[in-house]
Amino acid sequence: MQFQKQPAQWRGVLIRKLWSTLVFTSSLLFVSALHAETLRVIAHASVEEAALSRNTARAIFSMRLKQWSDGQSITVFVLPDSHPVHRQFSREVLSLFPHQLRRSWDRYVYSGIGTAPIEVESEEDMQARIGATPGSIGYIQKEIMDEKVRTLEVR
Amino acid sequence: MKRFGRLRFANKIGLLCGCLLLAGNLSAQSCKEDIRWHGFFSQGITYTDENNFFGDSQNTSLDFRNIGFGGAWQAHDRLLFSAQAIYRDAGQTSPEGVKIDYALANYSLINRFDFGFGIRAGRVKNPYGFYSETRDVAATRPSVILPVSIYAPAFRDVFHSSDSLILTGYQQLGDWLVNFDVLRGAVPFDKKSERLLIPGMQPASIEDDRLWAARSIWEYDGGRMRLGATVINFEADIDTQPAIIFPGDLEVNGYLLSFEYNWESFQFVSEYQRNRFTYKGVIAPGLDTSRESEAYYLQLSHHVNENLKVFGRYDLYYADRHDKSGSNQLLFGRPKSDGFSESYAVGAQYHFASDWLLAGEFHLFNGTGALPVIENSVAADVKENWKLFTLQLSYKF
Repeated sequence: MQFQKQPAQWRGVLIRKLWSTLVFTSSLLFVSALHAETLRVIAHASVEEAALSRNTARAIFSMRLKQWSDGQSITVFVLPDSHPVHRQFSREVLSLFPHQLRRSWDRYVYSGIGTAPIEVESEEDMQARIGATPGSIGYIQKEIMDEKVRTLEVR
Repeated sequence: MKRFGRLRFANKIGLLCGCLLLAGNLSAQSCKEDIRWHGFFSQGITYTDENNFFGDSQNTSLDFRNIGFGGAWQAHDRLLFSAQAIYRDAGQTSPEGVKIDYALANYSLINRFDFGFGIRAGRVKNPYGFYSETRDVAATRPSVILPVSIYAPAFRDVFHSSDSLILTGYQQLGDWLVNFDVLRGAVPFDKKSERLLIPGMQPASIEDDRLWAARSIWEYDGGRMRLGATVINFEADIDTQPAIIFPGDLEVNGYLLSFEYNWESFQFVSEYQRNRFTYKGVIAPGLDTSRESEAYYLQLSHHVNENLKVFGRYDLYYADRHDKSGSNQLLFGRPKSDGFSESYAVGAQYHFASDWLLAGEFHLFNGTGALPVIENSVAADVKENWKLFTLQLSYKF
């Protein structure tokens, strides 16, 4: 019977524990990084732009910009203000609070100088509507299942 | 008359917008895009311990109600037609019945992400400060009652909208987005609103009025900080039978500076306003008299969470910055306290369901400069110190 572990054995246990913790934490980090990355800005396949600057994305989602550079009309789809994916999109992609977006839409709508984005209830709806609407843009966290939908990089 | 021609022109544009909107609706199936409808509703309950605000508030008034309904039709990427009708009850200060709030055509000549330029014509909302254009929609306001120093409810109809032509645009400059609007037009006064510009609320009418307004708002980093400046120039003839006042001219020149800063869940907003009212020959033939109003407020609000927001505000107004005690008010039989208004307000807004808002607040006033004279016409009954409680339920779509 061994009542006391030798220092060398202790070291082994410690290293193994540290190692497993490290692997566990880094895999968590990796998963959460993947998780964060899966928020995609998506557009109908007819949209020519491959990437947008953040200012352009803000101009589109605040409803100031109405046409793509090739002249095609922009149709904007959003999830409800309280939807977690909408909040994540506002914060991470546009660096805005959802209420800041809402304020500019309200100003357009209630003073008659513009329109608000089209609100959809779910990410599935978002993808379906974008696939069916040339020139449209939106965002999802789920996998893209529609060949008429492509991703857009925002940087 | 020249003015008549212009007014009729603006009305025609409004009418045209309405017709096109209707036509757009009828042929909606064949259009690229349908009409987008919107609306809003709010009902307030107001109590004051002294004086009247939104009706007979000393006995708890329900006379604060806004109902709006409108539509917008994007006929083309560059061309938008829109119109909105409004019913307002704000005690005795509001007009009777349903009004055309706006009816306009908006044409954008250039629309790039970093630069845009367009023209707007018809009955429009005047570009003025941060809150004016959407002041009737509860959810767009920071509180049930906007800072009375600058957005006094009784004055809502004076400079809120006009039959105008607007040049509008924006330019991205690094992290700044610079917006500008320049307006030229005429105010659609009614009997109630024009009296507010007549000294001592004497019987008279405003004729041949011309309004210029220009506003620029600079937004930093998507609106984290916003700086605004508005200037106005308004000229009109005052038509009256010579008695206590005389026929003459009125000129109003003013500016409004606006500042907003958003930090995490906190927002700080302040606006400062000065308006000089010059009456030429109105007080006495051949004599020019003027007063210069001064107003500002400081407001801090905090988003406690996504659904709950609280605010606190300090608000100050002088009808004449060279007569802060209000002595000149006595000339027209009004109490001195009509010359100023200093107030503190605290309140909360709760979004208890999507598009529904419940708001409540408390205001502590010293001075009656922001009260409608029409609801407080007996000078002896006006009290300098008073309190106001209000609750409001609202919905929009």
